Amino acid sequence: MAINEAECVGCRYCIIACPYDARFFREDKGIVEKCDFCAKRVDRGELPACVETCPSKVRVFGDLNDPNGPVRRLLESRRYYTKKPEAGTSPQIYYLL
Amino acid sequence: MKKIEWGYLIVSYLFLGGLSAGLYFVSALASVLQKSGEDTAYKRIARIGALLAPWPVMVGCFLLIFDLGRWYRFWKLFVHIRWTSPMSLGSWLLIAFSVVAVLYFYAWLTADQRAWLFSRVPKRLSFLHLLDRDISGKQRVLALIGLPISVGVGIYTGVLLGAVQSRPFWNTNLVAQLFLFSALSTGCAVIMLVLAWQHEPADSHGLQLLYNLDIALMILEFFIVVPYIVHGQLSVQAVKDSLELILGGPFTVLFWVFFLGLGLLLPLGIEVFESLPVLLSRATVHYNQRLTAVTAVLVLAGGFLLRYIFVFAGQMSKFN
Repeated sequence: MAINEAECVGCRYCIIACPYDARFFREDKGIVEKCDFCAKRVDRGELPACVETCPSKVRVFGDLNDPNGPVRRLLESRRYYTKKPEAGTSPQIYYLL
Repeated sequence: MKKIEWGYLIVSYLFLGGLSAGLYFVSALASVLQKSGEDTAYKRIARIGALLAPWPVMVGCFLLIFDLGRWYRFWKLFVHIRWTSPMSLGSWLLIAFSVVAVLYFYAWLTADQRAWLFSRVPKRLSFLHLLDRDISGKQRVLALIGLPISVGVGIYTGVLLGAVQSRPFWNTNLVAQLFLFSALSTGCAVIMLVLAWQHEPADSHGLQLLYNLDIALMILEFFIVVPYIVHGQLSVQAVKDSLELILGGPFTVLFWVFFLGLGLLLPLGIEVFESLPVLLSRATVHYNQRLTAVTAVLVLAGGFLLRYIFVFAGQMSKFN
């Protein structure tokens, strides 16, 4: 999910509506932002910064639709949970058990 | 939530928007209920409401725009219509309401007031005199057109909060009804205050309408607060937890003592007490002007507090 910065008026209704409290207001820009998995880095073929910097390699990032990708393979072999699926947000971040 | 996103500006807007809706509603009601011919008491209520209605909501809209991260982009709300967003519907309602409220205001100006207004128009803008028309014949039509719009403005703010699934303190349809009746009640209160202020011989016929209406509205309010708390207690854990904010948390005293006690039950009690002669024996009452003014101020404070408590407590509530 991405925010169109050119259209955001900064009303912050979405911050209040987010069940994950994932959004935040950028006082300097006057708009709302959220983690975009470092979309610019991903476009360049790099990994999101949090994945790259994690010293114990806890995080895995990849294309869920790729049957041979690392994320699909992990989800097929491991147990996992998602956060607040009852909120109806179809969360795509999986926590491995 | 890490911090409160909607603060005093939003609380004030919710209050002012509701106040305008209430002023219009009461004015329109009085103007529809007045008998043909001279019913000066109702006419006076209708005029006071009509002359005051457009202004609080306009101040409120400025506060709303000022609260935006990028205020100069507010017009973007008016190039989209999004039926699924109360924010979008609300901004359109506010435009519609402001237009109708200004027309209604204009229709209720006396000939003298209109003449005074146009005497202030600078020469360079003389084309504005084209607007110098008597539309007082349209008072009732405008009252009827604006009535549902004013209810819309009064109720949408509660829908705006109630629609947020992730904030259990808000996520019930009762908030919408509570905000609506509170809004209409504050409108009543301001007109009462003006009548009490004018120090003219007690206008008991007009005040009786306002008292009866306000009593009904506050009883409705009370019987929304009760199921709100009972239902919340019987709901899922997160809703129960969120009610701790008013049952044993930072808003407890504010809610029970200041909102429910001083802002709702006390003015309700005073109004019922003042109306007893009418209620018991259909006698005419001479309302105590000072008591009327005090009651009106209590109702207004209660309306503001209700919004304060809901805006802040709601943002502090969450599903864990």
